[in-house]
Amino acid sequence: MPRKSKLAPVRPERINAMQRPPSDLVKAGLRGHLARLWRYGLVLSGRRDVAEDLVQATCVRALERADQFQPGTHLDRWLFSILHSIWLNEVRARQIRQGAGFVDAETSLSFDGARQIEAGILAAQVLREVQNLPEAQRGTVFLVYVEGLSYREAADVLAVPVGTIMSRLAAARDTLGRRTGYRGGRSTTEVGRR
Amino acid sequence: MTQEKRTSAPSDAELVAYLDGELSPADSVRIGQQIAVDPELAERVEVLMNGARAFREAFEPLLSQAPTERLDSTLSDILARQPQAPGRLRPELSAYRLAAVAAGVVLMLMGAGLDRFVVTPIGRSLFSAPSHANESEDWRRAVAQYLSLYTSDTLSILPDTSTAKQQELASVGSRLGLDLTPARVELPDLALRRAEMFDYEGNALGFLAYLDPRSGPVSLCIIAGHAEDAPPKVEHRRGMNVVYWSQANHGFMLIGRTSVDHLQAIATIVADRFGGSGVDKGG
Repeated sequence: MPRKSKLAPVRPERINAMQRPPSDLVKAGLRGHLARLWRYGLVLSGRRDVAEDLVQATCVRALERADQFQPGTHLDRWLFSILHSIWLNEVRARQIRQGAGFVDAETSLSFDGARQIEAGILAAQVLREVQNLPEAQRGTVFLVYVEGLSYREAADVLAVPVGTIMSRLAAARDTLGRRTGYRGGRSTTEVGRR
Repeated sequence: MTQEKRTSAPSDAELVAYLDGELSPADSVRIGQQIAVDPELAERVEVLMNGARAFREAFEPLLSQAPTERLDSTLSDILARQPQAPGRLRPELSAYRLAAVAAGVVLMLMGAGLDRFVVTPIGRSLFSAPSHANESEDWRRAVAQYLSLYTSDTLSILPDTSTAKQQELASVGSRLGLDLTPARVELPDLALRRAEMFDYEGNALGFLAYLDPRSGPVSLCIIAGHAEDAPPKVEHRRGMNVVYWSQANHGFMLIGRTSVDHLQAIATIVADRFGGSGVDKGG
């Protein structure tokens, strides 16, 4: 079974943070997470404009509920859970997924010059693979493998049991793992269940 | 958890949790042992390992594409519209306090980001060496690829509990047919951080990862099924130095970014410990 989050010494700055009203923490911390919130919105919706709307709605909601934020916990996780719930309950239903999603020419060409060209191609390939995963798997892969949330934290953000996180990740990795032709992977033999 | 075939066979979900380091040390050791003795399970692990990608790096460029200026000004508008909570924050103090709090929060979040460094063993290379190439060379190439994914950070965050490590060592040792006691594999100035078991083309392959405070990760790898003794040789792979040799039916390999001299000195120690009567169960 997944272990509980590691015990770590509480840093002095966190102790200071705990003494402040939660609404102050939210107000002050929000700005530092806008880009990451936008990226999460992009991963969920596949559209840049919708991602922007999601960030805006998340900011409004977070400030409205700032008193519910627990000082000493991760603000970014809390914001992710707000954004996810807005997406799930309010936006997704009327959002028709269209367009190229989060992989487009801009993405694959946005690296700094030739130095990163190979890395850029690989990155674009990874983005495309993730984009093609079913939505629930895509969001879970993003939170755990990109944002670095523990299974427990991802379960809290998505409001699902840890076992659901585990099975979504397993399904995603099974899909990706059986893809042929990936860098260095087997190209002729089928890799999979017997 | 769905139970397949045998009651104790781990599910894919558990295997992924194992690969992601999300299991307790006891569960991790148990599943590691099951993988080591069950080729079908090892095959599942291989597929799931193949499903790992450099996710974090791939998504990094999206951050710089965020419309940060617009988002910033939107937030400023929202904050300006916020009703002032009575008695909580006096207006003349707010700017100062926000700045002060922001500094604290930034520190907190920077620290928070470091709490978890995702370790996703992308060990596909260990299992997918081209079959036509020289077998003896292939396993070293595979190990070099695998070790090149390790950083000092990867090893530093592993829990340092000697009982878990001894269990890992015992498990790896029993598969290799070697008695891997801590006294035998602890090396001067290197901290043993992890023992992992792999199956390489049907041969048991033990991977011991050490942290050298000066040069970073160093690995001692032992593979079963090397019939002929061979004296130590030096090679270079992926920017790392390698010293390898065979003795007592096992292939040995030391690899790291440390100097060849350092590796050779360690090799002498290791060869001495596993020479002659050192090899116990015959592989």
